[in-house]
Amino acid sequence: MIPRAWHWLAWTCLWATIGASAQDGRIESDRFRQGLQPQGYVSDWAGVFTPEQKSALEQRLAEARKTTGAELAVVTLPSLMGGEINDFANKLFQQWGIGEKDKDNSILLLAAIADRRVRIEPGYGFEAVLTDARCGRILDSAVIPKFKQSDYAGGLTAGAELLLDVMAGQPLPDTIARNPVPVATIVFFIFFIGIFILIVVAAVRSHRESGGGGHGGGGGGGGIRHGGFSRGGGGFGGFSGGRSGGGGASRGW
Amino acid sequence: MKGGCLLTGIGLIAVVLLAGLLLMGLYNGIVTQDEECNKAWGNVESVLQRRFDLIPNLVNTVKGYAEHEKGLLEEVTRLRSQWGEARTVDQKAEAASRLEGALGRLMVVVENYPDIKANQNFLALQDELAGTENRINVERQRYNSAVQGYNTTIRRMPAALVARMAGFTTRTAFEATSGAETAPTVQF
Repeated sequence: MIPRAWHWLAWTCLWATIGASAQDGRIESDRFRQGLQPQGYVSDWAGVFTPEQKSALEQRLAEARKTTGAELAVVTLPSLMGGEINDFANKLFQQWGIGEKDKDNSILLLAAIADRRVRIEPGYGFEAVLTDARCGRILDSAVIPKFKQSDYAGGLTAGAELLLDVMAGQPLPDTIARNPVPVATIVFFIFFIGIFILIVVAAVRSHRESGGGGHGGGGGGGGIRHGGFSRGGGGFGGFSGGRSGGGGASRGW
Repeated sequence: MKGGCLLTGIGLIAVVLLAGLLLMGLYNGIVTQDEECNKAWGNVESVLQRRFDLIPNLVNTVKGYAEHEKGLLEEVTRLRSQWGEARTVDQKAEAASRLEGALGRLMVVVENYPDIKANQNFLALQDELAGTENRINVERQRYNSAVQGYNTTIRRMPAALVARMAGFTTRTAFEATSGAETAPTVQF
C-alpha cells in the first residue's frame, strides 16, 4: 500500500512540475508582451532596420494612415519568450488597439527573428479583402524569400508595400451607428429624480419646521478631467482601438 | 406628530424605492453579462460556420490525390453533417470538437502526399483552414472569459439572490477537446 501511495505522489509531483513549467513559458511571454508600448507604426525591438530604413517606412505608414485611415503596424521582436506567434499577435493587436475603433481597418505584421516566425494578422475590417490565403501569398512571395537571405528589413518593407496596396484599394467601411438611449429610459430616469427631489424637499421642510439649525451648502463639484494623450504634429499619435479575430497567416523560414 | 407620520411614510417609500433600484441594478448587470455571453457565442458560431463552409472544398481537393484516405474523408464529411444538425450550444460544442479532431488527422495525413502540397488551390485552402482554426481559438477564449465573468457574477452575493429569483443559471465554457492543444494543427 505504502509504495503505491508514494508512486502516486511522485507522479502527481512530476505532472504538477511539468504543468507549472509549461504555464511559466506562457506567463513569461504574456508579461513580456504586456510591457510592449508601440514605438510608432514601426516598432523594431529586434533592431533589423537601419535608422534611415525605419524612418522611411514609418513615413510611408503615417502617410497611408492619413490618406486611407487604415493603420499598419510593423513589429519585430528578438523572440516571443516562449509564446506562440498566433496567440501573441492576436493579443498584441488587442492590447495596442491597432486600427480605428468599430472600423478595425488595420493590419499587424509581426516577425520574431530568433523564433523564425512571421505573421500577418488583419483587423476584423480587413478580413474580407485580406483573406488568409492572400496573407499567406504575400508572406510566400515577398517576405520569406528575403528572410531566407537574412534580409529582414527588406522582407518586411516588401511585405508592407503589398499590404499598403491592399489597404489603399479598399474603400473604408461605414462606422457602425451607435444605439441611441431609448426614450423610456430617459422618462424613467427623470421620474425617479423627481421623486428623489420631492423627498429631499419634504425632509428639509419638516426639518425647518422643527427648527433645526441650517447646514451650510457645500457643493462646487470638481469637473471631470479628461485624460487622453495627443502627441503633437503629423507623426504617430497612438493607435485608435481596433480589434482582430485571429485571421491571417503565419510562416516560418 | 402629523409631520412625523408623513416623514416615516416618505422614508418607507424611499427605502422601498432604493431597494427596488438596487435590485434593478443587479438584475441589469446580470442581463448585460448574459447578453455578452450570447454575443461571444454568436462569434464562435460564425467562425465554426466558416470551418463548416470550407470542408466540402477541402475534401474535394484532397480526394483527387489521396484515394487511400477515403475513410477519413468520409468521416470528416459525416462529422460535418452532424455539426449541421446540432441545435443546442452543448451539442454544437461537442460536434465542433469531434470535427476538429478529424480535421487535424486529415491535415497530418496530407503531409504524406507531396503532390497535394504543390497544388496552389490546396495551399490557399490550407491557409484558410489554419486561419479559421486560429479564429476559432480566439473566439473560444473570448467566449470562455465572458462565461467566466457571468458565472462569477451570478454566484456571488448579493447578485446570487437576484439570479436565483430570476432563474439565471451558470453557463458552461466551450473547452478545447482534450489534447486539442497538442493536436496537430496546420503548420508550415
